[in-house]
Parts: sequence; structure tokens; C-alpha cells
Amino acid sequence: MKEVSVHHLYYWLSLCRVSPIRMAKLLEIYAPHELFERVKKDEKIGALTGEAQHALLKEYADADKLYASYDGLHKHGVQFLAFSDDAFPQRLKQREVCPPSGLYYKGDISLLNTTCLAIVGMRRCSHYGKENAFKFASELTDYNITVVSGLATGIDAFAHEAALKAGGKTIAVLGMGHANFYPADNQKLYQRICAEGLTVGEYPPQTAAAKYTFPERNRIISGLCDGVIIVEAAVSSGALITADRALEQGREVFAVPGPITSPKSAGTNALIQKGASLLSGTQDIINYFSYKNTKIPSILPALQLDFYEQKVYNLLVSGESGFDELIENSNLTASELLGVLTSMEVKDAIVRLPNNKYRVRN
Amino acid sequence: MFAKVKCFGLSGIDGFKVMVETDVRSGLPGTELVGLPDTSIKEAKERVRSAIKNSGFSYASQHVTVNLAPADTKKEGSLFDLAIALAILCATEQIPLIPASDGTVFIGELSLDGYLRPVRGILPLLISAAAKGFKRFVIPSQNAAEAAFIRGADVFALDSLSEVISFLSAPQGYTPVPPREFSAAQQGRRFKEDFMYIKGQSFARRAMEIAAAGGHNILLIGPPGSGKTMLAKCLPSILPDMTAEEAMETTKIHSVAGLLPAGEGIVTTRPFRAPHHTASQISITGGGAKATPGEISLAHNGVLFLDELPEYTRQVLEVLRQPLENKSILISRASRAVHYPADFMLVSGMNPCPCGFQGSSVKQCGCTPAQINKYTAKLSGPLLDRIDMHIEAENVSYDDIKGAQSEGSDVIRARVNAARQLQSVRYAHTGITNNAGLDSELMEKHCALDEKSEMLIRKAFDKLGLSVRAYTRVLKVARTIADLAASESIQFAHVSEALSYRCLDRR
Repeated sequence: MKEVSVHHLYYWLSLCRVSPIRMAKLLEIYAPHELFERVKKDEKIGALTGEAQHALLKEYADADKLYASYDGLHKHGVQFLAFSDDAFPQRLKQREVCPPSGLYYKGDISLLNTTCLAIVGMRRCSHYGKENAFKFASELTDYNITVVSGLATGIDAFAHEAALKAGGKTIAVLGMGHANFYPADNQKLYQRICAEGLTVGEYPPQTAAAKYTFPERNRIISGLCDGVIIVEAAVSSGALITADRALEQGREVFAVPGPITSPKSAGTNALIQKGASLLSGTQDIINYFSYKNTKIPSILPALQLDFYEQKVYNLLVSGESGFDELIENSNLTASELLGVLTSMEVKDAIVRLPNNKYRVRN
Repeated sequence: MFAKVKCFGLSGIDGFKVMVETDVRSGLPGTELVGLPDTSIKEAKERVRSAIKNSGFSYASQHVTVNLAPADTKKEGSLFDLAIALAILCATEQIPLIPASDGTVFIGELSLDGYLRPVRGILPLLISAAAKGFKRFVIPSQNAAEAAFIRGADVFALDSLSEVISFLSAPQGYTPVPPREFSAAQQGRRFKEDFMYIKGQSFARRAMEIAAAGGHNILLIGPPGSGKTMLAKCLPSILPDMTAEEAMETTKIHSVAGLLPAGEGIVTTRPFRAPHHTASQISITGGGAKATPGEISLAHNGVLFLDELPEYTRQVLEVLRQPLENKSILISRASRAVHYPADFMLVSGMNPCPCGFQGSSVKQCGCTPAQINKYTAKLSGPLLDRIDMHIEAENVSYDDIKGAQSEGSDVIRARVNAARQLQSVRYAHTGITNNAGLDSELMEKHCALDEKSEMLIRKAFDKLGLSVRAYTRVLKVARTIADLAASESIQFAHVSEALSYRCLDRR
């Protein structure tokens, strides 16, 4: 009879879908190897686990079977990091986090112990949200900060994308097993993060996404990070759960304010009202945590605008403006103005917004 | 007794000679019609019988055989009625035989009282016949306007069977239809939809002007109420005037389809076809039992407007690809293949998302990314490849509506005409007529860029995320902008403006 290693014991525990809170209670009473022996001998473990969960634990309470199942992980290209392993991040071991028994991952596991910040938000985001997700994610990479998010559509995906685009690191925390990735729209991004960053989750590869897996996953997102940035959230948005978890875990919550007329910013505005930090620029976070800029500052070439470009630029400095409005104020023809605007866009002086609106790039 | 009369049949927009042969012999009274006639020709028997009787002649009480030679080609339409009636009258010796050397071609449908009714496709028929050396025609008088554009032929437009018979006995009393010269009717014409009535929208107005000047396919994207349909409807008012050849080509197709406006005789304005999105594949491409021309051919030399583009069935959108490339369509059926020209400008409109309000400042969009993907995925890459310009139409504000008078279509059309004039001179003898038709060889010759512009395009590809396929599109549009500015070469400003008409590439 071979001895089951602690690493594998945690793997065994992770196979059984007991809620994180229950699992934490269970482990307060029994050490993992005690549990293993008890289940093996079919002894009662109190009223803590249900019939089905007990049966699941029982099925793999056999060393050979357990090892065989563990070796099967490589079929999915997935590796396992147990709670007991050295690489398991300390901050995730906090009691308030309800630490998972282990993490299934693909990619660079060392990222777990880097400085992390989460950027989350709603799926059906507006252009405003998209823009800010991009802005914060790409600017934070200058400070060697790893961007953590949930790889859902909308804000999450934009945050990951921006971090990769800026040459930074990113971690995607999954709410399902690696072999059952959802949503399909982000499949390509998922693969890219596996290769260039890290995808991680507490669920065995075959686990399908369910209603409860995403809120459960959110505690890991906030748990991994120093702070959480909520870019855009409606009042019923799942991103607010991440904010709640972050507060429970003692992480800082930053919220990006939005117009009071936009339902898509109602959630973040409410967070600010309740005391979350108002985030008006990347510098707010940097100052809060005293992060150091690791990137060699590139000297931005001064904007070189010609006469008409400068004229249009001056019109835009006071705020965004529509095409027709610009025509009226600049005395240029549609043809001339279009040429000027494109040229300025290419020079990175302005941004084109939906609905033929323009704004200076800050 | 035996008699023959010359007539012409129609296949697509080409005519072919049909010899109507009639033999009358003793036997059981009856009429037999052979030579692969369709139902409308088979019914000619009854029309001819009544028409002959009501014109004061008697119908043979013998056995009549009518053959439409060549006997192995399918024939359709009612245009053989007159020739059949004449052949029967000759064969029964009620009128003198028409000599074989007489080159007169008889075309017309008969009504029961002996009057001649107009037929479809007179212009293409006469053009084909004239090309084959026939110089004398008898046609229904209601087709006279259309036939007046034939040169070098005597066309007699007559009212009834009895008039045709008196013409045969004394042709000197009749004068042929006076020929008419084509003149583009666009000048001075008032359009119900005029750019004068479009307020604001300077971006879209300018884009429409460029599209019209270069014949570029254009896609308008915007929320409901942003005036996409209105913009498209105003487009005919700024389209360049038709040339005589273009008018002939288009008239041929409309004549075959029986769509010529009464009394006009010829299509003088560029067609604007706007089929609803429930349109079937056949109605767009053409086909059916008679291989009639479809919307893409009816829009030949004009505009095909597809509003709510993603609502069309996938098949309908995909069949557009090949005609957009070839500028013509070959409709192949078991019995025959018909070739129709289809050189049209595709103008289409769509909402940015299923609910229509994405990016709108008026209303929140409630669509999921998956829904939006599904919506836009209906437009396949190859189809979008063939659309030169895509622009956003914006919502118009109240201030815009109250604003100053906009520039009218007349002024814009003058600029468009000038730009087209430059193109037709430049592309003489190359087989194309406008910038949209440029191929890679001609593009190398006429769309050379200076270093500064080349640099701009290179940067724009990185910064704005333009796709590679956008490159040639941008060049073509830049060429048109240069033409509108009457510039020999493409300048920096032209390229930078052209880059702003690729909004779909930026996503």
C-alpha cells in the first residue's frame, strides 16, 4: 500500500465539489490524511458532506485510482498546484478567502506571486467602459503589475487583451474546468493567455460552468490581488460580487465613476457612495500602493500639428464634438475636415468615438 | 399552300430569327402549332383565329400547320401573333404571298378584334435583327417610342392587322417612325428626394457624393432614424448622367422585363432598385421558367439598394458576390443559358446591432456581444471585401434640422458629372468606366502615391487597425476624391480623407 502524498491529498479534495466554506470547516476538524483514511474506511465524517459528495470522495479514496486520475490531467495539458505547495500564494491562504484545495492551471505559475491588480466589470459594457478597461490595463503594465480578471466577455476580455497588447502579464481566473471553456467567443484569447500568461481555476478540467461557479471564482480574483478595479457595473452586475469579496478579504476597491444617467455606471457610482475609492486615473492607484514604474520612460515626441490640425485640436480640447459641429466651428469643408481628422488620428492626437464623434487623446 | 413570314424571338436580351412557316392542306379542320412554343404561343391559335375573323377575313376550314423554325429552340412570348396571322392569310391565298426576298420582320401581339398590342423587348429584338442585316420592321404602334432609337432601319408602327395588310399592298402610303436622339433627361429634372432636404449629416453627404462619383459600393451603418434610407433615396438625384450606350443597355433589360415607362421608350435615368429583404435568390439574380432578369440586372448602370442588409437571407447576400466581381450574370438552366449584364452600384444600410442603438447617445443598447457577433457575421468577409466604403450615419439633432439650407443635388451632380468625365476620358478603351472598376494593373498606373501618402497609409494600418484588403479600397476611393478635386495625381489630403470611410475595419 503506497503512501498518498500531501500534494495528491489536496488533489483528491479538489475533486469533490464541496462548497468552499464547508471545505474550510471540514479541514478545521480533520487533517487531509485523516479525512482520506476515514472516507476509505467508510467512516462517518459528521453531517458535513452530502451523500453525493461522500460518494465522490469515496470513489477516489484509493491510492492507485487517485494517482491514475492525477496522471490523466496531462491529457488536458493542465497542471495542478496544491494548497500545500510552496508556490501556492500566501495571500490566497487567508482564512477570509476560503482557499481552494488547489488550482488547476495552464501557463506561467510564477505570475501568482507577482503584484496583481484585478480589473473587472460588466459583460455588456459601453464604449466608455471598454476604453477605460484598455486604459487602466495597459497603463498598469508599465508598473510591472499583473492584470487579473475573469475572462468573461466585455470589460474582462478587454482588460486581458490590453495587458497582452502592452506586453504585460495577465492572469485569467476561470469559473469552469479548462476542458469546458466558456464563452466560446473568447476561445482565442483564452489560448493566448495560456501561452503568454496564466489561466487558473479551482475546478477539475471537466467541470462545466454553472450559475454558482462564477461568484465562487470571484473570491479568487480578489484574493490574488492587492486591489480590485471595477470599471463599469450595473446595479445587478456580477462585478459587484467581486467588490464584496474584496472588502471581506481586506482588499482595496477602486471604482471608475460614470455619468449618473448611465445605468451601466449605476453600480460603480453606488460603490463610490458606499466608500470605495474613486478612480480618476492610473496615478490614483500608483500613489495608493506606492508602486514603482519599471518601464524606462519613453520620451513622447511633442505633437506636431499643422495649422488646420491645431485649429481643430483647439476646438476639441474643451470636450468631445460631433462632425457637423466641427464643420460649423472650423469653417472647413467636409472633405478637408475628414482629411485633417484622419491625419490627427494617425498622429495619436485624437480618438474617434462611435457616432462620428471625436475627442482629444489624453 | 405554303407561306413563310419572318419574325424574331427573344432569348435573354438577344434576339434570334424565327421563320414562321405555314402549310394549309385538306383534311380535318384544325390548327397545329409546332416548333417548341410555350403556352402563350400555343394560345396564339385562338387569338389569331378571332383576329383574322374580326379583320374581315375568313379562317381556313382546312388543316393548318404552323411551324416556328428553327424547330429545336424554345420560343416564348406573344410576339409571334402577327407573323402567324399573316402566314395563315398568305397560305389561304386571301392576301398575296410575301416574297422570300422581302426582308421585312413582323412583330406584334394580336388582340381578338385584330388590333396590335405592344410586346416586351422590342428594343433588344430590333437591335439584334438590325445587327443581322434586317432593315425593315413592322411593330405595334405602342412600341414606337422605344423603336425610335434604332438607327439605320425603317420601322413601321401600325395599329391593327388590317392596317398591316393595307401596308403590304401599298407601303408607299406609310412613313417610318422618325428616329430620336438620346438626351440625358437628368438635366433640369426635379427629384422628389433631393440632398437639399437633408440637414446636417455632412459626413454622410460627402461620402454619398464620392460613392456616386466613383461608382463605389457603400454601406451605411447607423441607428434607426439616422436617415440611412433617406440618404440612399437621394442618391439617384446626384448620380451622373447616363451615356447613350448605357441608356441602351439598361433599356434592353427593362424592355425584356416589360418595365419600360409608358411613352418614354427608353430609360433615361439610372435605375434605382430597392427590393425588400424578403426577396428570393431568383428574384435577385434572375431566372425562373422564362429566365427573366433579376434585380441586379434591372439595376444595371444604376443602384441596387439593400436596406437592413443583415436581414436578407445568407444565400441572397452570397449570390451577389460573383456579379459584383464580373459585372454580369450567366443564368444557366437545363434548357438554355442566358447572359444578363449586371453592372450596378451596391448601396446598403444596416443597424450597428440587432436593437439598433449601439453607440447611440439617445438610447441604451441592450444587445449581448454574442447577439452583435451573430448579427454582423451575416455579412461574410468576401462580401465586405467588395464594398469600398462603410460609414456611420449619425443621429441628427434639432439644431441641425433648424440649420441653414443645405447644398442641393444639382450642385453636387455637377461635380459628380465632372469627375465622371475625367474617368471616362482616362479609362477610354480599357473596358472599365469608373474608379470602382479599377483592377490591379490599372491601379498601378493611375493610383501612384507619393512618399508622404504611402507613409500615412502605412501608419494608418497600424494605428487604426485597417485590414490588408482595405488597401486597394482606400486607393480607389482616394482616386475618386482626387477626381472630384480635378487633381491629376492622388495627394496626401485625398488619401487621408479616403481613410475615414472604413469604419468597419476599425472594430
